[in-house]
Amino acid sequence: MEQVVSLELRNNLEESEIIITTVEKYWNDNNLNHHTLFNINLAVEEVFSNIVRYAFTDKNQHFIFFNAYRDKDLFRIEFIDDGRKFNPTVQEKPDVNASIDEREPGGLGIFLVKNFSENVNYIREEGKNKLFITFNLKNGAH
Amino acid sequence: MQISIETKDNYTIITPEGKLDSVTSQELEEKITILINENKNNLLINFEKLNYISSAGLRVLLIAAKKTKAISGEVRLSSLNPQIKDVFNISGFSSLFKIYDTAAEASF
Repeated sequence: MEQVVSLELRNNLEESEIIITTVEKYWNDNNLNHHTLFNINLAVEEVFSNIVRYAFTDKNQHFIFFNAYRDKDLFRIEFIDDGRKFNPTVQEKPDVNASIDEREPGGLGIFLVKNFSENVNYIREEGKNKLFITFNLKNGAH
Repeated sequence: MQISIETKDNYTIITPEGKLDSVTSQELEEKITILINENKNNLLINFEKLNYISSAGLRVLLIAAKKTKAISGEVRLSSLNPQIKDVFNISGFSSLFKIYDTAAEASF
């Protein structure tokens, strides 16, 4: 796969915008399908905000690495952080049939990412969380 | 984020613009909290100028639905674009809200 984006971000919520702007530029430069871009933006925001909010147990600045790769119709994004071990692929599925009173806020982010992508893989390696999400550029919808 | 608010006889129309994400949803939550504290119990959130929503936006809508319900009101939504509709369908939020094609149809 050809690497098309490589970024180093700080653990501030606002920095997800840097990823989104960079991916959007690649999208426009290559005239790609905007439906998939929505899905990728959603994944970037959900994963990045989860990392910033929950991965780090100290108040220090951390770096989060974002890479994107493309091979024809496959677009893969990758997040690497040095926070505590967290595997989002094994999180409990929210009850999407619950009523307003029964539903509690939260727990939807990764569920949406799984539904809007081809697959989500996680590994813990060398003290780092590595999350890979693959999209098919030919599939407009999930 | 730009959020316009229009007060009608028995309901309030809220029209946020752009993206409802983890950064901007806090602004919407603050605006809605003020309205609910003023006892405005019927809210119509018009999505006409929104092109994106994430789980952070859904969270604010769920909280608004719970709070308005507690004061005998409700949140209605209008003018969702197809991708935002997908997010609502997958998350089950389509069945939590009355959703209309236009703001006019959603009037209380």
